[in-house]
Amino acid sequence: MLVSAGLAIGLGLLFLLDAERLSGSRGGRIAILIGLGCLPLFALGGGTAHAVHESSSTEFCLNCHEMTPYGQSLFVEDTKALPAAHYQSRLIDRDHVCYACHKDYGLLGDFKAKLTGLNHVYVHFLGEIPETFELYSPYPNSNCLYCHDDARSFLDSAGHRGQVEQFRKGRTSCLTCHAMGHGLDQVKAGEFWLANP
Amino acid sequence: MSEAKSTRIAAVLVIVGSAVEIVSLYRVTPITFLVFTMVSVPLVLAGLGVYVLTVLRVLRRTGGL
Repeated sequence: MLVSAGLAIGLGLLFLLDAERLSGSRGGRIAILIGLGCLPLFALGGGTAHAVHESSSTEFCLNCHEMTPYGQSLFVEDTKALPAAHYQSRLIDRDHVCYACHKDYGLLGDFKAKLTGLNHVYVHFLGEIPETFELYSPYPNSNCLYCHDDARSFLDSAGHRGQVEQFRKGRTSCLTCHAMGHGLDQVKAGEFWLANP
Repeated sequence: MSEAKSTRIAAVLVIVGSAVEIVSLYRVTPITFLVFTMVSVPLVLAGLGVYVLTVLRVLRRTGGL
């Protein structure tokens, strides 16, 4: 991506410096086609993929100070707190822990998540930051079931037996029982679990 | 506008957009992500658009289309 963008800049500058000679020959026109057509497009595709990947990282989400308590909630000493349970037991990739649970897994899930993220950045710099944060819509069961749907621990759990279809159809929210969320009270109280105390 | 001038404009847009892309994606933070999506992507796409339109105009003039 960096090489493509660099080459595009180089060929573009070459064109600006000697436009007549470049556009006057077949080879020059091909160079312009590569420099102004192919390379920027390739660099843009690579750059977008890189930006999407990097902006899905835990570190990226925790860049904003508003997210600090939510980052700390990954370490609370309470396995009923969903983020802590998932993070501490390595149920999800620790480098993408926020994104794994807060993006939709539909076709436009990544796109929607990035649009929402841009809105967050706008609010961070120009908007009014709310006292408490709420989800835009009720947390969808499909996000939980993306991983747990056919997991043995999920299907064998006594509380889930006979209810699985209700969860799949979204008639009973997973959060009906697993309602603790981030465990921000424990964060305030400073009750943390450390892997290597 | 002459074809040489519009190609130059395309080159400038692509150069600036690509330069902003390199700088903004060196380390992705919320602000650099915003710069990439709101500045770099539109500049490069505008450059590509101007270049494609110029090529189409040349092709139409020379009977290539």
